[in-house]
Amino acid sequence: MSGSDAQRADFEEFVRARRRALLRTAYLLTGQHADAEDLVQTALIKAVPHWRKISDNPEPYVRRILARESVSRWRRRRWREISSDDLPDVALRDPDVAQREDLRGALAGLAPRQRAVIVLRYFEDLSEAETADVLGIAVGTVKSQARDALRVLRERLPALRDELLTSGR
Amino acid sequence: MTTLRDRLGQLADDAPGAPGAPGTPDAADADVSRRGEESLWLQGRRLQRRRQAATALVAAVLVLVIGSLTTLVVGAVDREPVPPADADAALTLPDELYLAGPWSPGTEDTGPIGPLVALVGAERRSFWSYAGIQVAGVSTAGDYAFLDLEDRAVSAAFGTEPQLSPDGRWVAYPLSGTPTGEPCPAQGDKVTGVAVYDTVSGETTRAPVATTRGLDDQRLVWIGDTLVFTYGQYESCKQDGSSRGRLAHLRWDLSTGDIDVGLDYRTFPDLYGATPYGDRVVVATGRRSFEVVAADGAVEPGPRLDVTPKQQVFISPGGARVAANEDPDGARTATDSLGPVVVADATGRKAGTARRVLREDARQEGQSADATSRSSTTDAVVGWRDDETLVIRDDRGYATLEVSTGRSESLVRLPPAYGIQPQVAADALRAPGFAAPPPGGQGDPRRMVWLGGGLIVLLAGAAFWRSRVRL
Repeated sequence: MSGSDAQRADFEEFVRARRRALLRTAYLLTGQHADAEDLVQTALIKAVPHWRKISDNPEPYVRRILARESVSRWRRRRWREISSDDLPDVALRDPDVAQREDLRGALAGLAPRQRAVIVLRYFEDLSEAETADVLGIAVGTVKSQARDALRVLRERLPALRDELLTSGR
Repeated sequence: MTTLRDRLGQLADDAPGAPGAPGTPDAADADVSRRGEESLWLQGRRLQRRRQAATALVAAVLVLVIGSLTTLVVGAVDREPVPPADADAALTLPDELYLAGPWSPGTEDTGPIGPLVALVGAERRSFWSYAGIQVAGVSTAGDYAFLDLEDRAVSAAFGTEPQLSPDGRWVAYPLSGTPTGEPCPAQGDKVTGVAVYDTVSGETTRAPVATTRGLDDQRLVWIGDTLVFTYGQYESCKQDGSSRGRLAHLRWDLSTGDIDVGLDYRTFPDLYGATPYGDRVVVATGRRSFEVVAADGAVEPGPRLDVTPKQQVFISPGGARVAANEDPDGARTATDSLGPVVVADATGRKAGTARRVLREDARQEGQSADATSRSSTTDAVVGWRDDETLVIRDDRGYATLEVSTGRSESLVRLPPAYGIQPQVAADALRAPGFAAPPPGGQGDPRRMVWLGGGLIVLLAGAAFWRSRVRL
């Protein structure tokens, strides 16, 4: 097996193993199934040119692309899409589903960078410094973005516990 | 009570590919894209190739543009510094004169460039405009600079061309101004005197002539350091363009600054066709006679010739010989044709028998010296290089002609007349020669701006394109 074939096999192995986890993060970052799949594919495709260097531990790099691309894609798309704070009416099956839709709607109301900060800090469990490194921004920016985002979420999701919303690592 | 972390985890369970998530295939076992079935790996490799191509393209454009800019800047730097004037610079004779580059500097920018070997005409352009045909000077080092001649009168159809002094130190030209009365003729620049540009100090000195209707500039002649400006003082002019006036001279000794205005035409010799001879000039006066005129107007008759010269007579530097083109019909009629070159000894009251000098190459072609009849620009005598060697003008420029052997060699190749006839300082005809490279000032400096703008547009375009091809 040639070096290139080995790298490809290695890449495909990684995709099979980690795609589902990446889709979970991507779904929180985008709020849409199709966008989440696009985002993951984009991150994986962009990782290929660097695969030889990152193959030992590709996940941090792929997640870094995922987070940054979720912000930059929104920047590129914003003049083509009309965003709305009002979600379409859906038939709610049960209270859990309703809660998830509330959170999805609240996340959709955040700016892309704020949403990414919330996902990285509270879903991926990254520290402020790690979040700043992944997004390529300053720690101070992470703090301010998180503060603003949590304030919005508190207003829209009063059921969440205040002490957790205001806590940080 | 649930936390934000808990609820994010619950929401992530709705992600595509999750068990039970609606409308999505199980993606965990497939490396396929939603955009067709091509594998992610192949799409990534294609992206890699596109990026490499884009990087190579941008690098090539950068190299090209930076290389071009560097070439232009180096070229500009090369041609910028025109050496400062050197009053003692000895004249040297370039083996070729060129049209000055349209972007050559002017003396207002460079300052004086020292004694001039020659004057040439050329189109002049500036960053914002086209300045028309102007006069450029050629320094002893072969540098070219347009002469910013202040208040030069240029519009007359048969106006007097600027005249370079024999030693290349001064450039004389008709002075433009406003007559005190109604000007004549009504159109064009009005000549109100003469001015001299000092090629060493850069100063321009004016010698105005009081005039009611303006002056008809006839000719400018240098007699050593003395300038003689012959002009007609308009007295009346009619609607049909005819005019009446009286001729006079202005004599200006540049070495002392003394100026005599209004010298009577009848008491100062006519200098038509004058040729330089040391600090005097030679003027053909009759069918076979000529005289030597000093700056103070003193006239010394020359020995009588046994042929009729065509307009001009040239005395060799040592005074031993005279040369001329023979008048073909012997009547000094105003035809353009020139007869053969003739040379005669000039000692005594009567010159020796004139001997026709034919170029060696023409002799080998079997031409007869007697039958030679040429155009006014072919083999016309223009001066002496030394007592044995004439300078003649042929189709390509100036050439030497040895009077004893007829051997001829190119001396200076000349550019075409552009506004003025190329003019070589009389003393420079006897100066040592050097191989002259083409002058700078050919490249349009605006290209740097265009290239700079183009570079910005290219880089912006490349950046935009690169951002679009990113997935």
